[in-house]
This record gives sequence, structure tokens and C-alpha cells, in this order.
Amino acid sequence: MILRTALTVTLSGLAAQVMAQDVPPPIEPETLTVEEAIAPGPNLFAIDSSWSGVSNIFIVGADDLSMKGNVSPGMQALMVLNAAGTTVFSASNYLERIAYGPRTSIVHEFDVETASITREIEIPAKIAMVEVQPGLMSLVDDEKYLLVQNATPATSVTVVDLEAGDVLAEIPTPGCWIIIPAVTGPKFTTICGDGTFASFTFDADGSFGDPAKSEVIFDPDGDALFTNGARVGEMMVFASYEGNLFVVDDSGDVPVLTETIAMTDGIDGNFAPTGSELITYHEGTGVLFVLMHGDAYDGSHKDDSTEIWAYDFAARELLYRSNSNGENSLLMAQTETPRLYGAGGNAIYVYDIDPAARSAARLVDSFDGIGSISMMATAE
Amino acid sequence: MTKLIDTLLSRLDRAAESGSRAQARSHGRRSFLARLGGTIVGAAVMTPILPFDRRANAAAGAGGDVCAYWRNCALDGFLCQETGGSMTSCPVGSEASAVSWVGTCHNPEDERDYLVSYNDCCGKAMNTTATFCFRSERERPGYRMGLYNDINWCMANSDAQGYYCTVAVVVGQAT
Repeated sequence: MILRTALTVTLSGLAAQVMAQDVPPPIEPETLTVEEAIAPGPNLFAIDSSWSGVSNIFIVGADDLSMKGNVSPGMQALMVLNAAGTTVFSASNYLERIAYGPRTSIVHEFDVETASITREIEIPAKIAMVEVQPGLMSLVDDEKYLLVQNATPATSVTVVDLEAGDVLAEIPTPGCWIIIPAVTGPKFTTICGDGTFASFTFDADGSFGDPAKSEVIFDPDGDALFTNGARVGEMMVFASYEGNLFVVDDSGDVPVLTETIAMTDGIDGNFAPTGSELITYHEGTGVLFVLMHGDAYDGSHKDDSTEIWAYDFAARELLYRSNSNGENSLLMAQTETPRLYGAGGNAIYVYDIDPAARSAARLVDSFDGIGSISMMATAE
Repeated sequence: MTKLIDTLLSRLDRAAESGSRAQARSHGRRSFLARLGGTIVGAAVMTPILPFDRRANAAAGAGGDVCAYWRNCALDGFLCQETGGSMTSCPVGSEASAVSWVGTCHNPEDERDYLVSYNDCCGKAMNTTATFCFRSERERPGYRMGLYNDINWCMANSDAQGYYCTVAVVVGQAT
């Protein structure tokens, strides 16, 4: 009995000692802070543009898709990134009562490092209330000017002088749509419903002349062009509904069609391009990447993609057909080893491109559930 | 009689084909609206029904796929008819868009082509329980603005510019 009591006391003491050692010290009172900068490293910008409230421009790591932060423009937000990747601009709409009420249209300038607004510029309340595309907002003339697509539905382009922080001009572009920024100078080109392209030039005082209209370049009824093309040097390359590539030189006074390439000739399965930002180009390897779908028919030009075609632009040769994940947007990072981003179905996909394997695309990463991403941008 | 049956079956095949094609479409420029909760075109189960029971298909394609209905051939949006409106009327308390895009759709019942005005209805929150249709036959980008279905056609209204839903109104026979 005595032994039992002694053992009990001893074990109880040991247990108390063990428990005391296991209990961590209390948490010290913490201080609320706000992060001062996003995580370092190259970025990918992905916009989820809303028609019913605030839009979302996500900033994720270009290498690993890690979420770094976001900035928040208004409804039907458009987006363009400066070449350095340090400033993202967005033009968006604010209805005073969200579903109704007077509209205000604002250009936001966001600092990327701090994911913060640095400037607001009110512009005419005419911004095209359309799903975001690269050709709806552009920077030109060494990023002195910001161009925004309007539609009332009459089309025009608002020119914002970024140095002055004010609207410089509104240039009517009747019957034409999309802004193709010139490589140099205060100039842009647009695609018109009569099958022509038209170039507009403006001056620092806001004056502008008549557009320089091309000859008829394409047939909007028989073989319409997708409006978001790829810049290849001084040329722009556009895909058509029927699977042709139209090469347009926009460097001169008047846009000129230099070549039409039948990309799908000899390919079985009635393949055709599909999507919106459906064509992108890697400068280092000279390869175009195009979203495609099979069994095409009238009206399927926005269906989910099934393949990504790699097309050697210099050799005019189809290199490889990789499976896609239904994307309707592509973006090529101009990294030495090509890296291709795709967006669709509430996800972003990352593909490694192997130049030694005829530019085959290999899925290496994805970010599922990020939102309905319609357009991406990177300075990479 | 055999010819009649062949014709009816042919119509059913076309409708079924349209319905199955529709199932592939989920990424329209406006279809991002549907992720808010609406049912995207083609999501309805394809249930065979007799092709000559027109009452069952009064405003639907084969198997009750309402988006496969012929006049919806270029419709991109939530159906107003499932929000208290109809194919040709905006829901109560909303405002019809002042401008619209136009489709040219083939009616298999009379083998005629019709011009269909797709007006958006405006000024209220979207009803995301309504079916979201996304078809783009003869649709063109903004350089043919009157055929463009990616844009908010409430844009020209004086006050109610918020997108609500879409109707499909026959405005005439295509020539």
C-alpha cells in the first residue's frame, strides 16, 4: 500500500513535469501591418473583368503562378502593361448605382510593386463595354500616350496624354474596331468592316488627319479576321476564321497586305482557329502559336480550343500540334526558353516549349479556379 | 409518307447535331457571366422526343436544349424568358436596350431565313439561375458592330446600362 502510494505520487509528479514542458509560452500580442511590396520576381498579370462590379487583375509569379496580389478596377475593365512591367493601366466603367445610373469612365494607373493606385484619369464615358482584349487598350509613342477603344456603338479611340494626365483627343474610327499600336510614333492602325485596314496618326496638340486606308485586305463575310493579332517585327499577323494567316505591314503610311498563308492546307479534320487572344509569337525562335479546334463550322470560332499549333513563321511550316486545355487566350513570354501561358475555363495553364522538339508544348503547371481570365500580360 | 418521316428525322438530326455542338461551347466573350451560376448552353441532357410533337419543342431544340432553338443561332447571354420575360419581352421593371445585334437564323419549320434582333435587357442584376446561351452563327468582330455579340448592348441606354438578360425578336425575313 505504501509502495503503491509512493509510485502514484512519483508518476503524478513526472506527468506534471512533462505537461509543463509541452505547453508552449503564450502568444505575444501581434501588430497589424500591411505588406509594402509584392514578392520579388517576374510577374504574370491575369484579368478577370466583371460586368456586375469590381474587376480583378491578379498578379502571379511568372515562374510558379504563386499569388502575389491584385489590383481592382471597375466594370468591363481593360488592361495594358508597360514594357518594363512596372505599371499596369486599366480603363473601366462605374455606373453610379451599379446596375444603372450615370456612367463614369476612369483610367487607373497602378504601381505593380505596391499593387496600388498611383493615378486616376477620367475619360469620356464611351469605353467599349466589352470583354477585355489586348487590342482595346494600347500604349504608343514610347508610352507617352494611352489609347482606349470606345463604342457607343459608334466607334472611336480616346487618346490620353500620360505626361499631362489628361485626355488629348477622341479620334472617330467609324466602321473600324481594335487598336494596333504602331511600333514607333503616335500612330495606330485599326481593322474595318469593309475589309480594309486604316492607320491614324495624331500630333502632340491632339490634332489628327484623315485615316490612311489600305486596299481591301480580307473578306469579312467569306473569311473574317480575328482582331487580336501577333506582332512579328514590323508586321502584324492575324488569323482568319478559315485558317489563313494574313500578314499586314503597318509600318508605312498605308497598311499593306504582304502575304496570306494557308495554315491548314493538307490537314485533315477541318481545323480552324478559335478563341480571342488566339495567336502569339516567340521572337527568339520565330514560332507562332495558334489556338485551334477541329470539325469547325459557321459559329464555332469561339469554341473551346483542342490544340495549340506551333508554326514556323520564317519557314512557313507547321511544326507541331499539341493538345490544349480548352483555352481561348494565349500569351508567350519572350524568355530564352519559350514559356507559353494559356487561359480558359477559370484556369491558367503553363507550357514549356521545346524548340528541339519542333516547339511541342508540354503542360508543366496550372492555377485552377483563379477566375474567368480573359487576357494576360507579362513583361517577360 | 416515307419522305415526310425522312424530313422529320433530318430535322431532328440537325437539331441534335446543333445541341451536341453546343456542349463544346463554354468560353464565350460574355460566357464568363455564366460562371456566376447560370447554366451554359448545351448543359441540358439530350433526351430524345418525337420530332413531330411541336408543342414540346415550341421554343427549344431537340431534347429541350433551349439554346438549340433556331432563333437563338447567334445569342450570347442569359435568357430573359427564364427571368419573367419571354423570347420577345424584357422582364418587368427592366429597360430594353436601345441598340442590338442581329443574327440571320434558319427556321427548319418553314425553311426560311429570318433576321433576329438580339436585344439586351438592362438595369438590373443578372439572374444567374437563367440558362446562358452562347451561339455565334454568322457572328463577326466589332468591325461589323451590328453582328457582334461580345459587347454589352445596354451601352447606348441613357441610364440603365447594366446588363441583365437577352431576348431574340424576329424582325423580318432575310433576303
